[in-house]
Amino acid sequence: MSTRRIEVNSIARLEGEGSLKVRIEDGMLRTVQLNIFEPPRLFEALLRGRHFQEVPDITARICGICPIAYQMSSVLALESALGVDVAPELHDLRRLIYCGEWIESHVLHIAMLHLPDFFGVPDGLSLAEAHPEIVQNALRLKAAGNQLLRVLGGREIHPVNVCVGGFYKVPPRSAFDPLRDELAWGLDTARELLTFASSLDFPVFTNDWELLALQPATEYPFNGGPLATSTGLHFSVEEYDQHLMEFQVPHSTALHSRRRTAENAAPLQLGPLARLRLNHDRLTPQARQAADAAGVRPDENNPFRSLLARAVEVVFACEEALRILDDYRMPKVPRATVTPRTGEGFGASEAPRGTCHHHYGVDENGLITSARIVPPTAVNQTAIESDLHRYLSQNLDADDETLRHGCERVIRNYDPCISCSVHFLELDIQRG
Amino acid sequence: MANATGHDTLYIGLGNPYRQDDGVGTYVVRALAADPRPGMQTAIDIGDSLQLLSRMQGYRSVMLIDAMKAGTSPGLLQRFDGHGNRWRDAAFAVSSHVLGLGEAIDLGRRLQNLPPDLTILGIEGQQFDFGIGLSPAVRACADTLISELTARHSVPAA
Repeated sequence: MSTRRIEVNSIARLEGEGSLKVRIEDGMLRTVQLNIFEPPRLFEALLRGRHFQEVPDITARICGICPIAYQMSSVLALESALGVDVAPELHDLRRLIYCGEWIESHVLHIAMLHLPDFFGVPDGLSLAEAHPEIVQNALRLKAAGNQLLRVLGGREIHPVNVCVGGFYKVPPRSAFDPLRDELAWGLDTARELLTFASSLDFPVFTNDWELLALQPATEYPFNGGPLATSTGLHFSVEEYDQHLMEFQVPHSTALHSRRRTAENAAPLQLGPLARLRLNHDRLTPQARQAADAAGVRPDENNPFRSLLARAVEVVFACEEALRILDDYRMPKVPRATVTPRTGEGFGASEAPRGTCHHHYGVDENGLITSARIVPPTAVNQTAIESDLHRYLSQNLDADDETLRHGCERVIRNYDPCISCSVHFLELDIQRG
Repeated sequence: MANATGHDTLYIGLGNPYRQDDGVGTYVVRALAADPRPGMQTAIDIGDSLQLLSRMQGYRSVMLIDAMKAGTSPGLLQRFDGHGNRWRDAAFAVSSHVLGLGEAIDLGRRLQNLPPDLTILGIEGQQFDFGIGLSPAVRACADTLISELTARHSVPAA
């Protein structure tokens, strides 16, 4: 029996490090393993014994691309544990800073990481040469998102202004003045990007995984709200552990997740396609109109078309940010008063890559007694492996180079942030 | 965004001040910012490398100041033309966030939006471990550079 072995030292255009092992025996696909070998980062242990108000600054360090997700999920959980109500205007400001994160993260992935796949170029630098206008606009759009983080969060990477109860400082209305025109330009540009992207040639591929996202009463989801799945399940953030469980697999330092009650259930899929499915009717008017015009349906089940869902969400984030800025009056009080007490709290928010769930225990002095953080990429691992299995099964006759490129594309559909989930990618295909 | 005219020189300090000598670029530019002069604009903590391009837009003259690890003498200052290729062989610290300095400048070149006068000042570092503070040779070089750059702006701009 002959064995073919292919190794790729790192798969480009991903955040983090890991490997993919594929074993094909006698023409049959035997093993597909997404190996995440990033060392455990130990954030949950690091948080224990810390004061609750330190948590958003520590969890922000989990990711340089999506720090807001970790800050928001943690403050929501701690506010629940400590019995804190946050004023509606601060809730809006939290949505505003999340708009900034979605814009910068989604646009980075679309233009620099994902689009090169559709143009047959190796990276964003090559795309910039072939289609400078796309990359120029994307950089400007991304800068607008970053600027929102800077104004409201104090800085672009690992913002420092988010706290339990609200914000340390809230900006005057004038601080946002330079941003309003830029976001109005961004809204138009995002619509154009979506229209352009809808004309791309997407591979024919579908999956039927169980989609999971937050589903607030009226708003397109950012912070909190009950959870919903594409199979009709609805449950609160507090009930998360009753429905989902984490488990370890030998080939990954990031815990996988599955439905607790159904070991053989379909994988869970988080992120833009899940949000769109479960919240299409909550999109802002222009975003919904743009999605319809671009032919992006709520029931999209081709993971390659996640690029379009991201583009819809960029339109949404620009539109939502402008709405909040138009209504903005500087809050009299930047944060609610927080009194330490013994408690337990759960919180969830929608990171660009999907639902990010946090669970904390606090003692009477406000010190953290327990912490559990479920990053979206960790949950998406099984869906990615399952997509890879399906893709490989359908293309076993293809040569190794084609398979390697195809697998990379399948993985990039999920915009995985492996540094969050604990990093990527060496590819090993063995054929017996 | 800085309120600048196209005639100002923008000094951008790169690096992480919590990794000892890696922070020499921010050390230099913080000192320049503390003693502002006509025609001088400063920026530190610019976010990720992609933000570098938007931050430089509108300026004719930009100086990037960063630590190097090229195996030369600690505190050695090297000057590179950002439009040239010689600096690519120098060892600037790589970024863990998607694009490093070299890729960001490469992207700017391909988009044809680099400032006409782009200089990279690299200071050879010695210690890159966790912690704050510069090693003596690096600090001495940085202090000399601060004096030199400040002196460039001693005469009020016309």
